[in-house]
Amino acid sequence: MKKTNRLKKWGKGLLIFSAVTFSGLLVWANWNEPTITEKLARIEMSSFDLSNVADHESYDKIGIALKKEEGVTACAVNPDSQMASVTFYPDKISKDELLKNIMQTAGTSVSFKQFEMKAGCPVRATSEFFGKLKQSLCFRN
Amino acid sequence: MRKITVATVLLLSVLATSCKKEDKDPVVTPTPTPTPSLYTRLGGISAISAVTDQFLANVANDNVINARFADAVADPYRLQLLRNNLIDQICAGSGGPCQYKGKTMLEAHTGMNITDAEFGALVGDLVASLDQFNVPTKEKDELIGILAPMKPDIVGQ
Repeated sequence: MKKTNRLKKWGKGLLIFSAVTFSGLLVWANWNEPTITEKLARIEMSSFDLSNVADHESYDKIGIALKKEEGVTACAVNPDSQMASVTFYPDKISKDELLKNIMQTAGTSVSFKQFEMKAGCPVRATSEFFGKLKQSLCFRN
Repeated sequence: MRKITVATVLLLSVLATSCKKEDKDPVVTPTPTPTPSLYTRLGGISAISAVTDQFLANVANDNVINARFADAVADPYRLQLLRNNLIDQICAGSGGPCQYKGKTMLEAHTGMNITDAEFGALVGDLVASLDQFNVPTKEKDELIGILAPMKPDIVGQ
């Protein structure tokens, strides 16, 4: 009986603690209005290996086809590095659809480009964690 | 009597105003039209974000420097952060309503040993993205002029 009461007390305390913590996080995430830049729609980027694409004409065709796609914000096709890179709105088009488009235009198989990392990005893992948490809890976007 | 007095006053006031010595035409100094800020001339936040997206795509295709950005490209959150910081820098530097909240260039690039060639490649990618959007030479030079002083904090750190 004593044990049950103790467990109930702990449970209640934990519930109150969780509610207060969550409310605090919500207030923190929504305290400041998002800046003009933070309100811009989210983008993603994908790069594609075009080493299988033989002629330079196909590179031009790929560039034209990608720019026509709804959701693509920018596209660069480079015959020297044999690559294409695209920034896009992920809620309008996916990287798989872009890959399919390139393969159809080029008429050959194309793969995603994997980069070798070198002295990477200075964003620390902890600040990334809190940044993502804030983004997901912010209702003012 | 009262009516005559009122009419007389009215008549006298009309005469007084009509006989008023006219001022010579005052010298009108035209107020100079203020020059729009670089931010406005570039096209505002939507134009700057379009140029930034093109710049990021150019950088990803550039084998001289794309390995430096591999971390950012691979993670959507980091890419968004990089993109937002770039837009904020250009927007704030050109007189726009933004505030750059990222690390200083020195803090962000310390330990990375960025070379002259890498910095040159980055500037080339930026110029190419500005050319793609037909940004006039004057605005392009102004923008490069704002960003160029950052070189000592980026190269060789």
